Amino acid sequence: MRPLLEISGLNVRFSTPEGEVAAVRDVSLQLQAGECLGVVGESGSGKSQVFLAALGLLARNGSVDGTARFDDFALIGGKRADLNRIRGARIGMIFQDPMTSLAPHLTIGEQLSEVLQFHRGLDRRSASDRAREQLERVHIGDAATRLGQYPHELSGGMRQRVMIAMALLCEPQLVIADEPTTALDVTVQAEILALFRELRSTTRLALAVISHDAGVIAELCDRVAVMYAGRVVEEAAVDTIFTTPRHPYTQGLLAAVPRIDGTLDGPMQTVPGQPPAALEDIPGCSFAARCPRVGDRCRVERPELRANGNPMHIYACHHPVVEWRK
Amino acid sequence: MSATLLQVEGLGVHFAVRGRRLQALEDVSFTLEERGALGVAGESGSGKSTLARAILRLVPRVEGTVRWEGADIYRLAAVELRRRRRHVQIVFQDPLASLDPRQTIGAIVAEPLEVIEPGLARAERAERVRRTLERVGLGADLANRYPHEFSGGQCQRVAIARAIVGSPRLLVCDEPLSSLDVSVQAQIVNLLDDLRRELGIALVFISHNLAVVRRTVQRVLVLYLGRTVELADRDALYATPRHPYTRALLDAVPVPDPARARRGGPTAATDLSSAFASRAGCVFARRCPFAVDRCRQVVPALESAGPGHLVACHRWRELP
Repeated sequence: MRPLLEISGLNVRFSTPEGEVAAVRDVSLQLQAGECLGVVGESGSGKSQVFLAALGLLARNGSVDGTARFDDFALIGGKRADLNRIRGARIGMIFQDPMTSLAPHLTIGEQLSEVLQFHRGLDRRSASDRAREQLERVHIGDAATRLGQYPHELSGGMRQRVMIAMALLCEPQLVIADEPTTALDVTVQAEILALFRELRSTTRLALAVISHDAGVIAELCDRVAVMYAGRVVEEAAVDTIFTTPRHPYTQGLLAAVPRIDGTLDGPMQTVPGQPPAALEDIPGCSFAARCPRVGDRCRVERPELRANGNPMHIYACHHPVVEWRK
Repeated sequence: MSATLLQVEGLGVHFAVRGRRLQALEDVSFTLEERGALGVAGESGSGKSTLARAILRLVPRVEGTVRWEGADIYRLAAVELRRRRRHVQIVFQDPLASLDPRQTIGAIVAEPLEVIEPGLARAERAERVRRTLERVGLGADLANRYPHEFSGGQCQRVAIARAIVGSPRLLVCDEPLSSLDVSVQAQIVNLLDDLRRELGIALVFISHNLAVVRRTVQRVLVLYLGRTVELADRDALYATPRHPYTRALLDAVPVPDPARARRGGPTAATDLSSAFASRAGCVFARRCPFAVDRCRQVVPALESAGPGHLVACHRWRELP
């Protein structure tokens, strides 16, 4: 089946006073209708920039090459007018901090109605009715009152629900959620994750979840891509990633998640060191400097992203993890 | 038997917000031994950051007492308070915001020494800064760099270095991990563990995530809307949590295992909490699935639910 979203050979660069910075290097990702893809990686891994580039939302000093197709539309290199019609209508977006993504001087009702007036051509009255229905759909109580309130009058969890309601207003086929729960308390996070699960079970929504937290990914996603230093280093079904991670970086990321039931013996497993600076161009594997399994070959030859046995499990490593004890 | 380092008794803090009284903390009591580690857990609005500030006398006045090594810090003369401040230090949530962007890392870490030990020779001070930077896992060669050149995790190490350079006895960490990547959080947890073990620094470790404090602390205080709902030794709290709120906090931690991750399940209705709500009865009653009339009318006292295990719930004995 042809994927709903297909990103191929994507490269993103930023020109800075210090020089050219490569943020995304040769990334390809696919997302089927109704599927949930998790993209996990540390700050600076390029996981957000992949999607910002695909949606034409890069910062001014950014440039992109490669292709991104959504349904029948070329997202990169296509017409600006097409892109504006797709974003917000067929592709919804949710960002980490709902306080900065909501306009502080407009009421919740005004912000939601605006989307419907622009994309659906509704009049104010029916846009407002529709907005109230959406708030109820994401379990915001007393929706009629909330429509008249400003973002600062709502709690963080409530604001994130408003963001989700806004992303879903035009019944999109795809929602891209960039760290949707990172700024929230764990209890609020659990509520938002439950809401996403509910929406996925009642619609054919495709979801791309970007997070640094493998715990969040495990709760929501069908498939996971692990990014490091601008590249995808491993990709597989969620169960595969969590039971048999092959890339040492994936293993490190999973081991670092604090668990309520984990062992208390010895120090926590970490990924020691720091990711390479984006200005550096590393000849071999970009994880070599931090890798516990590094060999001579890793420093000179970049490992290809490929399958070994299971065709649905790809990873880029010369010395993959064979035994993995949780 | 080690000596008591920090003793908090009947601590209350309130603020006036647009003419209304906001009770940020109410009747909180606990003690912390030398070299001990106490976790403080609760959601936004639970009063945990106010507690951190009250412990350091960073709020103007409190009800009840806060004692450092026996001395009531809200009754100490300014000179005496300043003399004792070196023993109690704090690390904040957002490391980049808490570091002066115009100072080098070396200058930031050296600054407390200028106050604590003004007589220190320049070379000796530089040596202390170098040793402290190395102690927190930063190369001493980084001393001439500025905060913006560092990652969030490195900035948090700088903030920790600044806090420990004067050899404090107590370090209060207010959500020290929540602005960091998960992979970096583990590094900082290990660092705080090492500091406690090797330098004997006691910790108050504040977090909204019970999984995060679990490794580091010996006792856990759970706060909800300013009140203690449960206080217990670490193992007892995680094995047999008694308060419905503690259970909700534990249940909310994501499980990094897709086979066991929740697929559905009830939610905790977090939006029902309000700092201005009536404080009659149990403050958690509005969210509690087990609440009965009594819970809405009578404030539950802290009862003993085992050795060193206190819980403020009318119904803890009956809960499933």
